[in-house]
Amino acid sequence: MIDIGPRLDSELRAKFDRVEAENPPQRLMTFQPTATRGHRSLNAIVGLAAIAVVAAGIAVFALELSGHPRPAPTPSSAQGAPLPSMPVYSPSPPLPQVIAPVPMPVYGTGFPASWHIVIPVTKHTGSAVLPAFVPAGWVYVQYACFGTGHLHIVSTDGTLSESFRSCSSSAHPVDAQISGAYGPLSGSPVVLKVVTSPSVRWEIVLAETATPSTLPALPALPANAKVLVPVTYGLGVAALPSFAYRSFIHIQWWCSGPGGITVFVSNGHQSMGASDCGSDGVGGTVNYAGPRETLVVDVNPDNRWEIRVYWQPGDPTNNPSG
Amino acid sequence: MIASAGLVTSDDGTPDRAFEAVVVADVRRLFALALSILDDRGEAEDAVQETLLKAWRAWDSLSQMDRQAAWLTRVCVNHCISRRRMLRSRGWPWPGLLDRAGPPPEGGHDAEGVDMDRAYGRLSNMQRAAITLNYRHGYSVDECAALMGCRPGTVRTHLERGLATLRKELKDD
Repeated sequence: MIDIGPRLDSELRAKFDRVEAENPPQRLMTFQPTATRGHRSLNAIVGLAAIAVVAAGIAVFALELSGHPRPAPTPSSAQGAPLPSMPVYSPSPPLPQVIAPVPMPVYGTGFPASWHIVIPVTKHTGSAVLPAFVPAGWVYVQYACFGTGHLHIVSTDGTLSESFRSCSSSAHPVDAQISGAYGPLSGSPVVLKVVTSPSVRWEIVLAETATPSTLPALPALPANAKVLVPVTYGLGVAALPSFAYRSFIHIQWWCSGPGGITVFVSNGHQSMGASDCGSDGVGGTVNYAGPRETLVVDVNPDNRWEIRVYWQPGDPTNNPSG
Repeated sequence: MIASAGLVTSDDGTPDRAFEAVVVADVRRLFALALSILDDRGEAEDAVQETLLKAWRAWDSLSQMDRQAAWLTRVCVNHCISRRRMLRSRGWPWPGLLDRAGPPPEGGHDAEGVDMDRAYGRLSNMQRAAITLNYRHGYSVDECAALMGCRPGTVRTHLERGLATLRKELKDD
């Protein structure tokens, strides 16, 4: 034994005394070799099972390999034998059918039977010109599209230009009024063109109706009401026809869809609105006083709305300014 | 059934009572030895457990030996050394742990004891084994070499460096 000095000897001795004073764990004092052995046996069983699984996998893989036809030996060009044929690839699977079948519904109900189909269901990919038709009422479009981009419908004479929301991979029919914000189309032939990305698949159907029956009728006018803006239907932002009146006006409105609706006068002052139109729609009548020339409907692009404006001779100020 | 060396085996042939009489009775000494080298109760328990298991598996030959305690000591020391090597290869104990003052054992530690524990924690596994076997258990350098599975010169080196580390840490010049 080596000499380590008195102080270190003392401290080291105390250290070992403390160590040896500790009692062994009870598990060691009651050592059960069979139990431990059983634990080891369990490990061995698990190990053997794992090896068996791996071996089975290798066997299955070998069977799979043996099932494949072996490539024929490549003949040498010197022998003049034909080259092995190129593999034949199967055509790519068709795209999933994401566009709803004909007829596409309007908000789940379909076009009313009284409506007249002016453009039957047309399917296409990329931009295309639709057949010409002569409108005789309010024209509505239903569409569905799939891909990256959005549909934009314009009339060839430039009088109509409507952009719809982006297409998606979960296309579902959407309907929209494209006949203008404040009146039916009639008379002249209309040629519509669908402008979109070359990869966008879409289908479309157009119908017209003399009276848009999908929107509720606004409250009846008072007997002495003087209409400034007749019932106007729209989808999204639109400007109502201008009128000149320096008095108290009544605005009947109804809207449906996500988000709210706000009507501005031409000078930017807010005249009325609703915070949320909702899927079931909401409407009312508001009054507005002051100079105005034009009303602008500011609404979510997917909101449908209708508005009528009138005044009454008995209003506080009823002097039309002409 | 009477077995060799007067040990009694059980009816199914497993050396339960004889094993207990020789090996399990030596658990306290083996645990103190393992704890001195590993300085960790959990690791020491595992090392002794492995030693007992190995003894049980080798009981047929171990029961015939004259120096069964020496055999157990060597197996236990080897487990401790290899265990600490394995732990160190896995980054255990991490350096910050050695500097942390853990909870004192039963009865508490004085300041010198805490310093000694910290200094002892800085020794290598071989240094601890050499000091424990030579200083505490009184084995000669040659016997330590046999137990540790190395040359006597290596044991001396571990002894000298281990003690030098302790002196340095404890500032015992």
